[in-house]
Amino acid sequence: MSESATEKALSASMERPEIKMRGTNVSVFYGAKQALYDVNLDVRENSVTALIGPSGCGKSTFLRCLNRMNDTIDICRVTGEITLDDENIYAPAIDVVELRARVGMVFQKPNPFPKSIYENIVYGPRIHGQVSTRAEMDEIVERSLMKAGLFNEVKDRLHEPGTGLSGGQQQRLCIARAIAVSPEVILMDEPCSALDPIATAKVEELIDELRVNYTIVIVTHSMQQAARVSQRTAMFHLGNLVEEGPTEKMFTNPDTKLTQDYITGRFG
Amino acid sequence: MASAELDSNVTPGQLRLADALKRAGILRQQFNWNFFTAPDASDTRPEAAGLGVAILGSAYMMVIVLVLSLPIGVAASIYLEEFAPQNRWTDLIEVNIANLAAVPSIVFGILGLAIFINFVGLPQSAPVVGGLVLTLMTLPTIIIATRAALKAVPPSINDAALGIGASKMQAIFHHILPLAAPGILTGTIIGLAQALGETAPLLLIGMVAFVREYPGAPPEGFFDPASALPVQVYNWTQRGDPAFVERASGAIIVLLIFLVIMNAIAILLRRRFERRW
Ligand SMILES: Nc1ncnc2c1ncn2[C@@H]1O[C@H](COP(=O)(O)OP(=O)(O)OP(=O)(O)O)[C@@H](O)[C@H]1O
Ligand SMILES: [Mg+2]
Repeated sequence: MSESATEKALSASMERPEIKMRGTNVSVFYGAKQALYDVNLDVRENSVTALIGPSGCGKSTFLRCLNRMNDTIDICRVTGEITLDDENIYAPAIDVVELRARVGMVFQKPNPFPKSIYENIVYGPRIHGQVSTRAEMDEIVERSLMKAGLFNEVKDRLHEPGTGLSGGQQQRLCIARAIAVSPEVILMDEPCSALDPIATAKVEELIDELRVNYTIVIVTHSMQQAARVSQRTAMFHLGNLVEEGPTEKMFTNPDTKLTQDYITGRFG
Repeated sequence: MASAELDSNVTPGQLRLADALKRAGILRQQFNWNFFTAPDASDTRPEAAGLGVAILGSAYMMVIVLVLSLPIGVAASIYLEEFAPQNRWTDLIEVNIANLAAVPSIVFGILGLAIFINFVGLPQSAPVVGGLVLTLMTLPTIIIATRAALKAVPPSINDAALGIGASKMQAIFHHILPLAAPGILTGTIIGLAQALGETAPLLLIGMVAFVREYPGAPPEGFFDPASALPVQVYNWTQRGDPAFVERASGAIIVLLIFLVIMNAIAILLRRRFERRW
């Protein structure tokens, strides 16, 4: 995407917000236990949506519904509808593999493959047939690492193991790995909880930059982080979506007492 | 000399002659390579008896065990670990695999005799039957080791692969299995070492027979009569001539050396590739 096209897309999305993903009456059950109750939540294109709420309220559960990672849990059952570009991702015709290429995920704990940095990046594009020649691979490695703000730090050791990097670098490597398959949406589950403040600041800066090209949903326990990086915030409590709105409003003038209390640290 | 007097093979006169030749420097002691290559010999010629057929037979069986039990064991483990639903059937299978590992080996011998020889009609004393029986015995060991190795790979690796759109198969074959490979290999080598030393089931399927002919080249050779290292030891301890006792001792040392080498490789593999997460 060229610079002006990006700006156009961005300004267009500001005038008339595009809904990238929409959850309608999403309920999730782990066996007999219900973890989410009829959640209705929209995710807007080219913006960062933060999911906040006390521990165990179902933030990760909702996030994992968005790329069907919950499919890997045998006892997990999802009802309701989630759309990506108006297409139900739980429809039988949907190929989960393709969905996960479009909706990437970054996990709480950095989890690079115990392979070289280079291999970490090219694996995704290769299995999706997006690259085949050496030159294409070199290019995608450089481009992804560049976007993740990691290239200058690791350019001399691309063929050394990704697990040898520092925690913050590993997490940015995981982000680069997610970016490499050119997803449309990136899901992040507490991506900074295992990082120190400096590494956290770097990742937050990165998230802000990525918003231009991607749609991001981030789970976080840090109110400051939600306030810093997100445009919209959704507050969960005991499996219910309590409130959703522009981040600024959520943090200054929330509609519900529950949100007010949680944000000011009175519980949670 | 007193025992030599009773021995029908060597007379005191011959022994005295040998001593005289040795003193004269005509007769000398040297390493007996024939011991590794010669086939078994009759009761009257212990000096000619060797381990050739037994080593070949054991090698053939190990090839069969490896080729059958590794793929089957790994496939079964992957199924049980990654695909099988949690229900009563899989529980039953799991309990049975654990139990199979503890079944006395002679039971596997009877099973082999009943099924492979009497029912299927495979030849007696053949490495193919021994290999099949030992495969049955080795499978539980390999399955248990492989499942442990698969379990030891952190789920975050699986998540990472699935999260960028790898299919379940790709996640397993590109990431989980390679990381589990050292553990699987270690388990396989230990399983093979167990199988190599196994005697009882082979007695039942007729591998204790006196075999002087080398088995042919594989694959036809798998069906020729052969012996096996531990059975050869047993066989020689049953012979009348005291010289066979020395043969048996030598054969035990050979068997032990093989086992030590195999276990050393397993330990080295484990050391070399051990990974902490
Ligand atoms: N694999 C699972 N099996 C059974 N129950 C689960 C599973 N995963 C989550 N749950 C339950 O679902 C509920 C929501 O969990 P979830 O992980 O979504 O919470 P969360 O908001 O992400 O919490 P945290 O902030 O601690 O990460 C919890 O009550 C939890 O016990
Ligand atoms: Mg969580």
